[in-house]
Amino acid sequence: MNNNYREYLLKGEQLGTSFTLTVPDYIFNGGNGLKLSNRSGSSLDFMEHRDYMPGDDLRRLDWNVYARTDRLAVKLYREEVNPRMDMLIDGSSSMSLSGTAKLEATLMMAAFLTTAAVNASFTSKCWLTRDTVIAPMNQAALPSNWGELEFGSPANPQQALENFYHRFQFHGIRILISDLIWNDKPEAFLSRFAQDSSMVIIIQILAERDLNPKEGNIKLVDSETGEAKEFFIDAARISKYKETLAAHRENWNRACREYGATLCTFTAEELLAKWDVGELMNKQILTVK
Amino acid sequence: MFFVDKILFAAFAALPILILIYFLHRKVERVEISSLIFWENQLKSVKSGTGIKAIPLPLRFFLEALMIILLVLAAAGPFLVTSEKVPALTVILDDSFSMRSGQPDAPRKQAEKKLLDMLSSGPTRKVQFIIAGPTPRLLDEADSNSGKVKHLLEKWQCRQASSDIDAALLFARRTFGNKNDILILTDRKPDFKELPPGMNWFSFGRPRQNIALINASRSFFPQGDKCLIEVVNYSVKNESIPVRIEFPGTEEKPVIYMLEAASGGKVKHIFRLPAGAGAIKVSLPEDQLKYDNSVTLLPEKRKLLRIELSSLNPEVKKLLDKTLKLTGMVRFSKVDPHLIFSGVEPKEIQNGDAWYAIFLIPAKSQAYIGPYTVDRQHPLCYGLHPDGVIWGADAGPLPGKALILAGNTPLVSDYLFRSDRHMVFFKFAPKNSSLQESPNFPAMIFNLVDWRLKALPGLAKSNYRAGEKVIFNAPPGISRVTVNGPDNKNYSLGLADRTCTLDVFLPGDYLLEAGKNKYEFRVNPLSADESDIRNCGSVMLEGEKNENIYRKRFMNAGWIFLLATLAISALHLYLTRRRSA
Repeated sequence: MNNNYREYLLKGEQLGTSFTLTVPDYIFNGGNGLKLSNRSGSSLDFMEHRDYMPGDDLRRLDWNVYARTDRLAVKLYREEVNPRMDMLIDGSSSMSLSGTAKLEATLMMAAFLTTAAVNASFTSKCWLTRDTVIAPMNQAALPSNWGELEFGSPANPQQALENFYHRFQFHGIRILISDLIWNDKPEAFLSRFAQDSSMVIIIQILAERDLNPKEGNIKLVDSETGEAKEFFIDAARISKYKETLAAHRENWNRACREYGATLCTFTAEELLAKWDVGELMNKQILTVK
Repeated sequence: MFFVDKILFAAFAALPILILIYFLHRKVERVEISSLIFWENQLKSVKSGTGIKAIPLPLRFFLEALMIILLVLAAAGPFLVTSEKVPALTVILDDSFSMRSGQPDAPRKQAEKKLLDMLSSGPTRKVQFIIAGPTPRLLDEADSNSGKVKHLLEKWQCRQASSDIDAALLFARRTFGNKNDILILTDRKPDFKELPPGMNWFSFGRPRQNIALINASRSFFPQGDKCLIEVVNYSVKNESIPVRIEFPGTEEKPVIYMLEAASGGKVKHIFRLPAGAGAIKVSLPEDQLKYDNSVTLLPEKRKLLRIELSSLNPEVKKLLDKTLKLTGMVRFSKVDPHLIFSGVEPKEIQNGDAWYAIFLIPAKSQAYIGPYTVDRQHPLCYGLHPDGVIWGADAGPLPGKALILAGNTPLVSDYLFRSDRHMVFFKFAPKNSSLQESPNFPAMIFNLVDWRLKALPGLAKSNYRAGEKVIFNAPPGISRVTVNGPDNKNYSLGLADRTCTLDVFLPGDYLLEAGKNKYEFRVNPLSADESDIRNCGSVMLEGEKNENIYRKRFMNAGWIFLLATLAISALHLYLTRRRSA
């Protein structure tokens, strides 16, 4: 991997130190967790009281409260959880589109979210799509130490996932960083990606060029297939293009809603310039540490 | 429609510039994108048009290109031919060999190009061609846009030794009247500065230096022919000129004479050839005008006149014998004589073609001292000046036309008999005359011999200058002769009084056939005036512009193109504004 790109991993890592990834409410069972959940559990940390309900463990009755108030109350303790995160980075050619900041933004975002997850005591795993889904070298280490993050695969994430015969972590958070530009139904990808997950976050990173194509006589070259076509691109064509792109995004929005996934879209160039992750915070994916 | 300023078509160069601007402006830019999936639909989109592969040029480009074309056409001076018929054009072509000077951009070539350009750009009209040589000659006429024009121009060879433009102009006016336009194509500037309406004088010459042969002749001598050549130096400095004499068809080595000629000066050289030498070629080094750098001289055939002296007074006979021998052109023979000198009028005329010179010695003579009347037009009288001479004769009449008279007394007369034979009568009493002691007597006898020699069948000589008259005396019994010239064409000519006269303009070898007899002669391009190309010049002199004439013939159509340009300009403006909006 190019050292310049490692610089972006490092930047993302530094930016992520101030954030933590929000733990979902309903994930993780089992003791010996590293993280206290917002749900009640069996840890030693007291959380609150509530009225006794038939079926509650009588051992949890707070007799002091009963003595003072003559009301049966049960003591609730914070649940101890073991949060897991699988981050899938789209390694297709379109993510390293020359002349754009997509690759840099992707690397920074991956490092940023991983660091935020580590801050939240998540067990994180990074994956990269090639022909299949692979784990980059040193993926268990800090993002700045990741190796062999090679982009340029002709296969899109869905095709890579179809060739992936292992499983992501059970009931873990799954994050996809991609431009989502491929020509299949989003449901086909999401159904597989969201399987046995506790939460799915889709980070869409588009380049300015993807959003606002240039006018004029343009020879468009598909970065993934190498196919080239000449267009005279005028305002009408751009309008039509934007309509098509908006429809595509709407498809993903709808599919994400169906699968309970959260979709956040960023423009790579803007992200690099401002690093505004307000959308992630608004959607309660991140919190400030 | 035709255009008067075709050179402005060069402004069409603006079109490639416009194309270049659009090309650069609309150059295809290669852009790598994430995927073509969002564009593929565009090809199928009804809104965007389907299947657009080529780069479309906007309508504005075509409008701008059209405006450029129309503006250029308007600037080039478009003229429409009006209903009145355009008069025919008479083209006078200078056919002299100086039009060949300075190859490859010879005046003839330039003139032909100019003429073809004019005809192709002008209205269709009849064009008549007149070749202006020493005498004008009408070639033919053709439509200005037909291929026949080029075919006719191929006959414009420029090989003649001179050209009489004035005679050609007169010929054109007399043949076609004053309604035709006239165009003169030459290499000389006109002597005048203004031309009448409808007449154009285009000259394409350039002052050039030239060294030329302007005279070449060859005379028969038994011990070897004698040749004279004259070379002129029309250059700005003195020159040493090598003159090369070749003997074609023999193994004789060429001879080179070095002649020194001052600038503008002439130099003569006489040299003798070996006895029996055939044709020789005299040549000068190549220069701006090659045509006058070489001549060919054929051997001259010696003609000797057969003379018979009979029944003559001994004193007269002695005089004649001495005088005739001095001419070197006679031999005495009684067999088939050409000229019989006799002391009495013959009682019986011999058959054949013998002429008679009758010397009558009067019994009672008087001495005449003049004044004498001489028929200067007669060949017998060339150079005679009998004033002061005492001429012994009687007062009696003489038959035929009197050639020399003392008062009203005929002394010499010419009597024509049998249609083409002459009998010359002399009244001459040597005892009381001083005629035989004056130069007039041998001159008169020489004239008589020369006259008779020239009347012998055949050509007077073998070498002629271009433009010289060739006189042929046919043998008895011949009514037509055939001449084959350098252009390999045969011309059949009729005879008048057994004689025909040829005007030979084209240099080269000629063969004249009269019955079974064949006569060769050579015509050489020798002309001091044509070789002098120092004063040639280039000028495009057009006749006085008579607006009425032009208005009647043509209509300026420039306004049509300008109006069209304005209309397209308005459309362009509308499209531009609509796009901006």
